[in-house]
Parts: sequence; C-alpha cells; structure tokens
Amino acid sequence: MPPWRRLSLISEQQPLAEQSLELHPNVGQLQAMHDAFSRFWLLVETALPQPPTTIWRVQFETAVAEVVANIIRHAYPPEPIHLSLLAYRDRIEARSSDRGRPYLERETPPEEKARRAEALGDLAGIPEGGFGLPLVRATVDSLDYSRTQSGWNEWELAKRFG
Amino acid sequence: MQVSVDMTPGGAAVLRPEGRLDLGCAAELKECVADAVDNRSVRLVVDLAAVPFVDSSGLGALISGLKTARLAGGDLRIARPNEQACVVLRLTALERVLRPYASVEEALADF
Repeated sequence: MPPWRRLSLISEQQPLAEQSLELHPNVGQLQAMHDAFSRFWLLVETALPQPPTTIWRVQFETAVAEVVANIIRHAYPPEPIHLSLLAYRDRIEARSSDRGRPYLERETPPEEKARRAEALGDLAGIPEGGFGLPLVRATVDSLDYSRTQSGWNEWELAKRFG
Repeated sequence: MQVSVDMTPGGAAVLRPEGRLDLGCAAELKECVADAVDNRSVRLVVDLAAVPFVDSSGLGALISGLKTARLAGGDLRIARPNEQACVVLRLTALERVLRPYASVEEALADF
C-alpha cells in the first residue's frame, strides 16, 4: 500500500469525489488515465455545487498527464503506478506513488532556454524536452515531490478553485 | 496514432494526426515529418483539428519537426489547435516558436 493511503485514512477531510487507479508503466496506459479522468469529472459534476470550468479541468488533466508521463519515461517503475484523483470543496488533488528511480531536477528551465534561443534566432538552441514539470507548475497551485526511505516516489498536485 | 498526409498543388504537405499527441506517439509524428522532408516537402502544416490532447512530448515532436523542416530550407506551421493545445503552447512560451494558425489555409498562405 502506498504511503499516502495510510495517511488519508487518518485525514480529517474526506474527498467529495474520488477516482483511483493502478497504471501499468507503459505508454498504452495513458488512455486508461484519460478514461479515469472522464469518469472523475462526471463524479465532480455531481458532487460539487460549482464544478470547475472546462479550461480549469484541461489544465489539471494536462498537469497530471505530465507527471504520469514523466514517471513512465524517467523513473522506470517496476510495478504499477498508484494514482488517485480527489475532489474537495475548495480544490482538487492528484497523488501518485511509484517505486521507480528517484526524480532529479534539471538546471535551466527549458522555457527560458526556448525564449533566449528564439530571441537570438538560434534554432538549434530551442530545447525539445524538459517542458513537462514547468508546464505542471504553471497549471497547478502546488506540486510536491518526496522520496520515502522505503523507496516510494510520491507526487502530489493541488489546484484550488477560484 | 494515425497521420494522413496530403500534398497541395504548390508542393506543401499537410499532416493530419488523429488522436492524442503525447508520449505514446511523439516518435511517429517526428518520423512523418522526416519522411515528408526526405520526399522534398519542406513546407509543412500540421493540422491539429483531430488531436484532443497534446503533452510535452508532443510539443517536443513538433519542435523537432520544425527544426528538421527549417534545416532543409522550409518551415513547419501548426493549425487548428484546440483549447488544451493552446494552453500548453502558451504556458511553455512556445507559441512564438510554433505559431498557431486558425486554419490550414491561413497556414499555407503564409509560406
């Protein structure tokens, strides 16, 4: 059982809507993640008095998809990725756990490299990768990563309403 | 992901991917662009009308395609990105590099 599942059992706040799934770490499973989101948004529409707008949902789903793709692409988890989508009155959270390699941060943000390269007309200098996590940070309010002593990577994203 | 390719009378190529442009099929799009350039079509429009979702890998494939086309003396434009694709382009500051066009015709006319 991933670490945060134990925590949520003693948490004060219960989610108004939840969707959890196990994703086998291959790109074919990205469809399963998007399908889970479709189900989740339907639950959210029923459970929340003011469901978020389409663009809000698009931003959140994009962020979670980037985190999951990063896990598949860089962490090489040997087992399924646990993913939970949780809706509360004031925010939506996504939590993932995997047993892959630890995450290491890059030095220069690629969108900064892209801006500089574009300004200089330097085509080769425009990066083709590394946009994932900056994209996540631009679309959600908080992004936290931790590595537990027992070897779990935990990602937690939260986006507040309004 | 399927990618259909149409040639215009002027020798430009319109690539129409169908499905998500993400980690799963970024490589396919890069190959399609490389094939088009190998076949001497260096002016390329990627029509995103049938692409419901673009992630950073998909963006990377478009950037790679842009570089391939420009190195061959041509260019690559994107047309008809949906709301999600526009969000992604804006937030990565790549909308100045991959300038989106509202239609394939407008993208072709600007060559």
